[in-house]
Order: sequence, then C-alpha cells, then structure tokens
Amino acid sequence: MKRLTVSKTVIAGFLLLPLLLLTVILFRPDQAVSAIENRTLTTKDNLDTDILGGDFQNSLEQYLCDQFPLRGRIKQAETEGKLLLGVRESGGAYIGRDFRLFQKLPASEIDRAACQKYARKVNRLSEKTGLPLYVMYVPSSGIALADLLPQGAPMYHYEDLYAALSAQLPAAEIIDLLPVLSGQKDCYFATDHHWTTLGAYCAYQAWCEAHGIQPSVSESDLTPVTHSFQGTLYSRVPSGRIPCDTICALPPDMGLTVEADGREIDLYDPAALKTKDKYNYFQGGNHGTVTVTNPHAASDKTLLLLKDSFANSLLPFLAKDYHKIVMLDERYTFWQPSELAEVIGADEIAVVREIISVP
Amino acid sequence: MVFSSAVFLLAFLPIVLSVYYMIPVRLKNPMLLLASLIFYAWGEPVYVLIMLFSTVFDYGNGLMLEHLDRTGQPHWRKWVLALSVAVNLGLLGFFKYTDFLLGSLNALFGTGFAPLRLPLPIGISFYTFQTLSYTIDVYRREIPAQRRLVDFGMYVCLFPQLIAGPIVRYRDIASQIGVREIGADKACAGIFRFVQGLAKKVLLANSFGALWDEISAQDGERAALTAFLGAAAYMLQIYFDFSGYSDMAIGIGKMLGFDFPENFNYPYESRSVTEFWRRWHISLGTWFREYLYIPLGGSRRGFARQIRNLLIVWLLTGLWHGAGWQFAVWGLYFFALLVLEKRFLLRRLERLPAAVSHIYTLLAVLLSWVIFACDDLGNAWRYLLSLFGANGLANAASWYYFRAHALPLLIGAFLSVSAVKTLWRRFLYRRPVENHAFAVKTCVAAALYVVSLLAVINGGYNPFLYFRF
Repeated sequence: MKRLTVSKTVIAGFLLLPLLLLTVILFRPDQAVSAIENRTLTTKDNLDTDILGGDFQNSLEQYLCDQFPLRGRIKQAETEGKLLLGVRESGGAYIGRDFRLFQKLPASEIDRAACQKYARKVNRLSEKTGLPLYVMYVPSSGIALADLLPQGAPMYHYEDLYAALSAQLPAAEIIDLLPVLSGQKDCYFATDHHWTTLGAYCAYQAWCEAHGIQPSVSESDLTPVTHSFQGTLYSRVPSGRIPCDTICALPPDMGLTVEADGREIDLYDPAALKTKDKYNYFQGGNHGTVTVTNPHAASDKTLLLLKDSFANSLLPFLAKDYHKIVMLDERYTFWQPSELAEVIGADEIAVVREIISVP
Repeated sequence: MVFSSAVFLLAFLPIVLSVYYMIPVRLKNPMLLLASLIFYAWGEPVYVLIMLFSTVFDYGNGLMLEHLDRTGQPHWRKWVLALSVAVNLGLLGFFKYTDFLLGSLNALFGTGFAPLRLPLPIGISFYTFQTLSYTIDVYRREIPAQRRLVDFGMYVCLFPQLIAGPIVRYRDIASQIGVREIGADKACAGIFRFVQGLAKKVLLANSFGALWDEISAQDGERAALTAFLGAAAYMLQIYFDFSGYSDMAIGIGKMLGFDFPENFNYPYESRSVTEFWRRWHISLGTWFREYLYIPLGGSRRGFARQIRNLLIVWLLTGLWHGAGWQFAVWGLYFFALLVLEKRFLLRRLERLPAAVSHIYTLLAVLLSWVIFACDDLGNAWRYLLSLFGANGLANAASWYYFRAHALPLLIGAFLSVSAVKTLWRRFLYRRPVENHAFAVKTCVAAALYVVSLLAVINGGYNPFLYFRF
C-alpha cells in the first residue's frame, strides 16, 4: 500500500511540475529581449497565426522556450558547467587561452565560391570605371590569433582563400593585413568577432603606407569609451569567467557631416554604449549608405568604400584623409556599387571586409 | 509534434495524461484518439487527412474480410487484401518514392521528369506497416476484425509510437485495446522508462549528432582519425536517438496502460551481423519476416530461393529507411554480409575469441552507418575513403576532436551495452541502497528529467532523424 502511495506521488510530480512551469510561463508578463543572449524573444504578441503551414506551432514552441523561467540563468549555468568540464567550444564559439572567444569557422562553413564571385564583381567594377581599387581583407580573429585557439581547433585556410581571392583581383592593390594583425592580441576583442579600434588603426597605417601618405592620427589618440563591452561571442558563451572588453575611439571630430541613408548621424553613437551591443557605438550600427564629408581634409578625393561591419571602426581614421567617403553596405540597400560610384563621382574604390564575408 | 519539444513536455503530455486518468474508462479510447490526432496534426496539419483515410479504409477492409467469410464468399477475400495492400503501398509509394523514381529515370535515360517535391508525411512508413499488419492478420484469420471505428482509429493513430516506432502489430495489443490495466506502479515504471529515453535522445544523441554533422561537412581535410570519430559519433547518435524514441514510446505506453513490444536489445554487443539485426529495430525485422520473408517462402525452398528472398527483403528494408540509392546500397550491404554469415562466417565467428567477433560486428555496422548517414552515395564514398586514410591518418584537427570527444564517445559506448544495466542493478539491489532503491531511482529520474528539460529549453541541436522513414 505504501509503495502505491509513493508511485502516485511520483506520477503527481511528473504531471504537476511541467503544468506548474507552463502556468508560470503563460501568466507571467512576457520578456521582450534577452540581454544575455543578445536577441529578441518570442512573446504572446508576436506568435505566428498560420496553423496549416505550421508557423504557429513553431512559434509557440519558441515562445515556451524563450519565456521559460530563469532562462538566462540556465544558459549561464550550462556555460559554466561546460567551462568546468574543460569544454573548448560552445554555441559556435571556440573558448581559447585566457577565455578569449573566437568564432568557429571551419573550412566547411566558408562559402568560397561566393567570396570569389564577389571579388570578381569588384574587379570588374574597377576595370569598367578605370578607378583604382584597394582591397583590405581582414583575417578572422581565429586566424590572426591562431596561437590562442584551443590546440588544433579547425579553422579555414586563410592563405588558400587569400590566394584564391587575389587571383580574381588583378585590377586591385591588395593590402595584406595578416602580417599587420598576426599575433596582436589587442587588435581583436576577446568577446566579439570584430577587431578593436587598435586593429582598425593598424589597418589604417597599412592603408597609409600603400597610399604613400602619413597617418593623420597616432595610436596615442585612442581613448577608451567603455570597459564593459560583452560582444556577440559572449552571448553564445555567457559566463562570469569571460573578461569584458574595452572599446576605444578617437576624440570626436568637429566639422564633419555624417549622413546615413539620408539621415544625419554622428560618427559615434554614445547611446549604444548603454545597450548590450556596444559595437554599435560606431555610427550606431550598419546602414545601407553612410556619407562622411570633411571640408578640412587635405585631399579633395571621394572614396567609395564597400564594406561589412569591420569598416565601421576604420571609418573615423579614413575620414581624416578624404573630402568625402561613401560607405556602402550591400546587405542593407538596393544601391549597386557601379551606380553609386557614378552618382557620387568616386575617385577611388576600396573594399574592407572580413575575408570570409560576402554581402 | 516530437517528444523532445517544450510543447510536448510542458503541455501536451501532462495535460493528456491528467485528463486520461480522470475520465471514465469508456471515454479513454475516444479521448486517446482525439489526443493522437492533435499530436499528429500539430506537425502535419494537412497530411493528417491521409492518416484518417488509411484508418477508415483499413477499418472497412477488416469488416469486409469478415463479412465475406460470414456470407460464404471467401474467394473474394484475396481481392480485398490485394486492394488494401495496393492502396496502402500506393500511398506510401506515391509520397515517398515518386521523386526517387523520377530522379533515377532521369539519370538513367536522360529524361526530364520534374520532381513533385512533396514533403513526406511524417510516420507514414510506420503507420502504413501497422495498418497492413492488421489487414493481413485479419485475412489470415489470425485475429478478429475490430468493429469499433474509434478503437481501431486509436490503434492506428496512437501517438506514442506514431512517428518513430516501434511498429506495433495489431495483434500485439489487440487484447489491450478493449481492456488494459492502468495502475500507479505501471505508470510509474513508464515514467522512469520515458525519462530514460528522453535523456538518451536529448543529452546523448543530440551531442553526438552535432559532432557527426560537423565532421561529415568537412571534406578534403578529414583525416582517418577524424573520420573514425565522426562515424563513431553517428553510430552512437542513431542508437541513442532511435532507442531513446522507443523507450519514450514504451514508457508513455505504460503510463496509458499499454505494453508495447521491445524494439532494441543492446545491439552493439552483438557478435555477428545476424545477431545485430535480431537486436536492432526488432519490430521492423519482425514485420519483414512475418509479412514478407516467410510469405515469399523463407528458407524452406532451397538455398537459391532463400537468397532471392533475402535479397528482396534487404533491398526493401534499405529503401524503407529512405528513398535514395544510399539506402538501397545500405540494405544490399547487409544482405551480402548476412548471406556470407549464413554460408560460413557465422560458424567461424563462433569459434573465434569473443573480442574478434565483437570487433568484426562493430566495424561492419560502423561502415554501414556511414553509407546510411551520408546524403548521397558520392559523399558516402568520399567519407569511406577518408576513413581508410585517403587524407592522411591524423592531423591537428583530429587531435583537437580526439581531446574534446574521445571521453564522451567512450562513455557513450559504455552506456550503449548491457553492462551498465547490470552494474546499475547491482548497485540498486545491494545493501545499503537496497531498502531505498525506489527513492534512488526516483531521484535519478527526477534529475535526468530536469536536466533533459533544460537542454530542450536551451535549444541547440535537436534533429528529428526519421523524416525520411
């Protein structure tokens, strides 16, 4: 008889625990964003309604997971457990020496054909317009800081990719950034896949060298704006053991006008420092086009800069030397580089992007 | 709906069970039918109609077969059976094999048939085999036809085994459909079994699967050691995933009062491929033996006929797992091994030390999973080449994978054999634990349940492997 009561208790527990959790999820006010994971959560209001297509079912599943009590803590606990067990990767990030995080990019994840196709496209643009083309491919942090990766952690072959892309770019002057950034710990964030402002500054030096000019600013001009940056990789490996990053910037520059998609902005967006994604400090994030005009620049040239988010922190340096820079992020606009080059009357074209990224 | 989802664990299962326990007996079967339809329609809101059609169609066929017997027209019975088989297999064939057939024709003759690109109704291979077993058994007069449509519908659509097996033959649970014992002890045992399966799927299979996915996506740089680790990971993934699903099905069955047949019996400790297939997906092997191999004549009409029968059975077993040439090759691979074993290998294996026959079986099965798991034959071939050292024996990445995954793989291997059960029992039923065995079991189950639930909530890799079945 006693045994039967015990069995009934087990059954009651098995039925009531999930139902209790379900009640909490359904009746507690929904959380709209997860700061730790750096993403918006599914709430009751944005459930999909298409039942026959199955979207409602999927969004309800996502809703239950997203609004599960203490979700952020669970995620953190999972990561702490992994770190304790000596696991060297989690959620697509490698956990390297000194708990530095690297984006996990084995060769199988790289769309080499698309990279080559884009290189061909840019090269054609230069040949057609006769404008000089400068290409700066940024090596991923796991390439430049390979020594800090977990030993043997698979990454794509930078040299192969670099050679393959160079072969598509006979018209371009390619500025090799690997020698500049290789082994430079301070040139990449520990919790984000981007380079630091110092990394961008090193690239700027190489840029100046290729153009035969003197850098307009020096390394000592960089000043920290925040010491509590936890980047996109941190969101995948949230843990108290991962140190925070510092973001540096040049002092604000008077006299520049900056426009993003027709709206006036600033080179820096201090409001972003109060949010999770502090890399948005640079121009408030990515825009389709960003136009910077500098009436005090030594040259009167116009640069068309084809880029991904890496270029955002490089832009303040380049802005010193060009009368006008139009930065184009093809992911966010319908502008074609060739059209834009004509409209703005570009004198030079540059490509600045992580070597593996394609628009 | 799949078992390893928040909707199932937090809402569907506890609500269905609570209602099921509270309502009177006569309402339990209709309620289960309704719940099962919701379960299926959750993932297949349109294709649920096909399942309903199959249900009503085979219900009618069963009644018709009996009616013909009663009215003295038995010669018509075989036509009813033929119609049932043709329609059931026709539906299965249409949804599952049309594109495969068109693709193969296009490749062979250079024709240009456009593929239909119909998504495969989940579980269609499982429930089609279940309804076929019913009609055939009624035809053979081994069981009486089910007169209540609701009861028959409940059998066909019963959600625990609906989408990933085991294939429960009607006769296996015919007696339980009307009357079954629903008790607290049995339900409790069912909960333990369910939690065991859930943990196998969510904690073990999914993590091994992520490793396989990563390694199989590499190509040129995959050294032999890496390839071996990847194949071993898949071998453990498919076992823990599939047997985990069966555990969950059997466990839920017990909570509802059913006793489903076992589907896995520690296959990886077999000493021959023949033995492996007696321990792996037992309900499928049984089905093919009962409804195909034996009707074809089995081994009774000489060796040549037996070979032919085996060839048919294994080709179809392969294709049952998916419409693609790699599955056909996978089936034929087993056919070849089984014939060799029948001819002479089995006798020799028995005389060899156990270690040798274990290693032989494990390697044979490992290779088969590579063919099975790759998207197509080309990929499978390249994977096999890399496994045999075409890209070198080991490189830096191999050692990275080795350091990170060798121990988890070893633990997984240990958990996949019966020794772990023996040790667990020895621990439970000895002093001082003995008197608290139930409490210990409950605590372990509760911990596994919570951790598995959190793993589901946390998201991450959680594939459904049987969408091609």
